[in-house]
Amino acid sequence: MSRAYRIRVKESVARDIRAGDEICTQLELLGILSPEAMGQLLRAELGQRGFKESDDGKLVRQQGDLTVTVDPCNGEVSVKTDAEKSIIVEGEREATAWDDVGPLRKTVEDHARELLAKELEKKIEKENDKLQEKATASLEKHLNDLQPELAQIVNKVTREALKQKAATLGTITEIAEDENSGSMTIKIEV
Amino acid sequence: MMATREVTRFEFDLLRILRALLGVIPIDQVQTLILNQRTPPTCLNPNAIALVKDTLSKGLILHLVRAGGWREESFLHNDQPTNGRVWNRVPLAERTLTFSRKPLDFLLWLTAEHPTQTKVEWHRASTESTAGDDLFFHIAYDALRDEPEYFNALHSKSPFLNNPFSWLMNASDFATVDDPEPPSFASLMTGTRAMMLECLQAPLTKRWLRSETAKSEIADWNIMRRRGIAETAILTQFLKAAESANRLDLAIFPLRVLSKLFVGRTLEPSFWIGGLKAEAPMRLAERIAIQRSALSLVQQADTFARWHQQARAVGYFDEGYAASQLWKEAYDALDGGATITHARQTLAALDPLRVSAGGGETFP
Repeated sequence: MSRAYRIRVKESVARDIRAGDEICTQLELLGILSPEAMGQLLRAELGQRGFKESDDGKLVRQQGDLTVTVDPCNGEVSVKTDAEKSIIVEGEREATAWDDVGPLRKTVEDHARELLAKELEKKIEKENDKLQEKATASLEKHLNDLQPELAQIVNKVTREALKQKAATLGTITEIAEDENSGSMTIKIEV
Repeated sequence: MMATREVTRFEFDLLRILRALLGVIPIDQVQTLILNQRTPPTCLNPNAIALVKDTLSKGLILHLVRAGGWREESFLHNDQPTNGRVWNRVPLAERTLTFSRKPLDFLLWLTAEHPTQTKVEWHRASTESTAGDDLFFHIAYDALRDEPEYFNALHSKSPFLNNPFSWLMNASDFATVDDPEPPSFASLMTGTRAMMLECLQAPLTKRWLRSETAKSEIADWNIMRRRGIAETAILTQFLKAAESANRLDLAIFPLRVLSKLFVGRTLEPSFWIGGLKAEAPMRLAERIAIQRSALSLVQQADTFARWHQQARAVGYFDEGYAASQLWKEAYDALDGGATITHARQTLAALDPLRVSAGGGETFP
């Protein structure tokens, strides 16, 4: 008489998962001065706001999982979030065989192990999606803060450029700036 | 009075199918003829061949005249703007249509085989297509593509797949793969094909305008992505070909579409992407890329602005002065400046981080 044996397989997988999101934009600075001079002003302003120059000449600021990179030569901005996580997923699966030893038992066990591996991959995929959602949500949240800051940077660089341009046209006698409205009046004596 | 020509039953059906493809009779009237399967004759009698030639040449010329050849318009000929209807503008040699065996092979196949069930191939890939062939296959495709069965059976066959007219006229049909490869548009910029393209400017404008206004009905992000990729590839390569051949006048239809879309207004991106609903991609980067590619035509505004800038810089004694004047005239007539400004504002609205110091020239 045959007897059924219950075969139990257990697996655990450790994996480092990564997710990230990035958007790019362009700072549109007016060509008041030469591109090099405008780039220099942008570089100075970004330096004051905690951006560090990298090897390729771009200015980078890292805040937690957020990395903002600005290319002062062409005004290209990249905003990136990265998320990393080490996960361990575990699972267990049971199968039934009519022998407790021999090839049949091995086949049943291998099959159960294969199904379990697929299950674990799905779990890892789910974790990956969660991490991706988190990275994207973080990027979206940071964009709200970053947009006004970038606007301030553009505003400041434009004002500085206007002052420098005005100085080349004559002697500046008066500068009136309104931080709130962003307006600026420069009087020059030619 | 014209002598009566005798043809066999098969030849009669073939001629009726040809007349339907050319729009002389409704396509519905020949559905059963197309779906009937029968043995083709080993050869056609001279009467039938003469009638096919006559129907083809008259039908295609009539199509071109109706499409826009009758309009008094200005296009470049020998680098000089020439005004008038197509038969006044273009010399006879460039208006003469010639055909290879391909159209006749296709007609024989369509009459003899069931297009969706047959395994018999008909296209002769090795022979070069003439301008007449290209126009015929474009018109035939246009007549048959509305029927999903015919579309599936035909659109991947080389006379349609490599037909620049079909790509320009039905861009969305070729958005079926992730990386579509449009045929070269360089051939459309010279000779008879250029004359055809002059005549087709109005239907192209109409077709692209309809396609742009219908984009808001697309709910699936993946479909929109493929559509955007295909349209971007087509428009970019087409405009590049026109620029290389100094035939900016042949690329006026996308500007006409933009001008009609942005007539005195800036449109919200939702005009194109408002219908996107089902399962958005998880990554913001991907979502923005799809939204941008949905506005593939609007993205070409920068090319038109650059062309205009270049045209303005051409002096009276410079080479290409007449061509640049023709472009400027067309650009101004379409209120190009305002159109480009509106288009750029629409694109700016898609950028979640867009920061600008105001109007004027930017750097670099």
